[in-house]
Amino acid sequence: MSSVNSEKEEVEVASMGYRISHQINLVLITLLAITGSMLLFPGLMSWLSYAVGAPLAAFLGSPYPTSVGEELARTSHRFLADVWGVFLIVYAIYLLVFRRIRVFDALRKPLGDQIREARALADHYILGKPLPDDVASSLERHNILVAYMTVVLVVGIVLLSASGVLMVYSTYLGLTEGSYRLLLLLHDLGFYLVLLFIFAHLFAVLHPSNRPLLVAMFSYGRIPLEWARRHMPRYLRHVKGGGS
Amino acid sequence: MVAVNFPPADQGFAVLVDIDKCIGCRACQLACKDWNGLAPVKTTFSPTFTNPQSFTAQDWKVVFYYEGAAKKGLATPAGEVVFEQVDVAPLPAQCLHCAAAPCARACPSGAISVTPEGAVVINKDQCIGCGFCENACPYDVPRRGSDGKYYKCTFCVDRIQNGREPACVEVCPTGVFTFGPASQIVQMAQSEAAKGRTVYGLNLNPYVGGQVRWIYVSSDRKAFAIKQHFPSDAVVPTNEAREVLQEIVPPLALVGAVALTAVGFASWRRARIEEQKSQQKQKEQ
Repeated sequence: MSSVNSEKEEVEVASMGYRISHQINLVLITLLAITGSMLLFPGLMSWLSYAVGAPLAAFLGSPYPTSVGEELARTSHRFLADVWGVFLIVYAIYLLVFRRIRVFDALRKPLGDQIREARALADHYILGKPLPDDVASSLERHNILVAYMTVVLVVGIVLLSASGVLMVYSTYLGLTEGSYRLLLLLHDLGFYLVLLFIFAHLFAVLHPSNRPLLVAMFSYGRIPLEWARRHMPRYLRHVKGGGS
Repeated sequence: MVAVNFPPADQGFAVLVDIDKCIGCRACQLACKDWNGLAPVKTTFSPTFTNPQSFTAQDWKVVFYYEGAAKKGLATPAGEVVFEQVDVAPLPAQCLHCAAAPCARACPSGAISVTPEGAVVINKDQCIGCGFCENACPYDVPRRGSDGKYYKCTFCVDRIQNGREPACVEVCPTGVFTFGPASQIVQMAQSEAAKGRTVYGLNLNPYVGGQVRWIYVSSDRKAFAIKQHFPSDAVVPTNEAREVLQEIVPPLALVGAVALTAVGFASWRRARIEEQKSQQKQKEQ
């Protein structure tokens, strides 16, 4: 997936497949979050329900554009979730089979080191303090905060997908009303966890320290070698050593 | 567009249901079907007389039958002998029209409205069949119909608005139901409670607005029916937790977004200043 190009002084951090997957995720999760929010926060999102429902309501001759918008959100939420589910399963199989998962590498460090790295990174990103040399020299492809937030994301997605599938097929599975109620709460909690990840992710990628990564993800997937030496030295040693 | 306005609990109308007077004739159940044009539902065997066994999209009023031990007194020449005996108590049930109906709060399409009379009504043309009302109801009332939409008792609001009592109230041969202004009915229920009778429908969980508009009273003899039928706490804990989160998360997300934007902006500004300084140094060299 990643390779060092010494002539151009660049290193690849996001392959074509990785970038395509990211764009698909980006589009689907945005659409799912919007349609889900229309159902979860109907009061806040009724303007959007009205906006998307009005044309269809006019076509159907319905005097209730907000209801039509909600109906549209509900049906498209289920359809988009199915598409996303299939995509995630395929992508997860690819990552596992080809051992492409590097995001949890930082979790292999001792807990004390993890906490020290997390504190140093928080100080760096929020207060602008420089990273201590020992922390900077041990940074992986994804730092410990990314690893923690990915754990949050995975828990959120598992909650969302498991509860979502069970709710859609609750009648066929003969689930009780109590089970359905619990699933709905878990679905909400899953969404809030994913929302937490999205906030942290957006903050990190829009931070000036990480600009090369943002550019790489939305262009040709490469970052300057010099930047990689400072931000992911351990990973760079791994790549230069011939690892995948 | 999806906001719900609940009339105060002491305004609009209410019904006092005295189950001591109920003989279980099911005239109310039939009158409900008749007035609302609800189709018959195939009956099934069950351990009790209750039929259908619960509410359906075509059965908005059902008489439930409960068995329980009741204390009875027998006058004998030697004095009154009090003993326990198994008794059957019919309990006519329908939507209780909560003062702050959780189903109406949960409905994302604004299909459930509350009329000035206090009736909690589903507009089927607006219903999208999501089932959030069923999920929110602590009394397990709204039911999905074959068309995917939800149905329940309307409090016969069409009759009330035309000066008539609900169909079930009007038809009852033994006067189980007392229909009237909510303030008056609540007063009657309070005086029944003061007499030591069991009352259900007042001082409930804030989840349902603390009160419902169909208030049940009974003597000790038939109180077991009320205890068996209604939940001890009128709340759906999972939905209550969802409502709390729905209140908390949007402002928290807004504050978080503003804070992260401010930090991010400060970082960009700092980076820009450092960049300018280094450019100036290069020029000077």
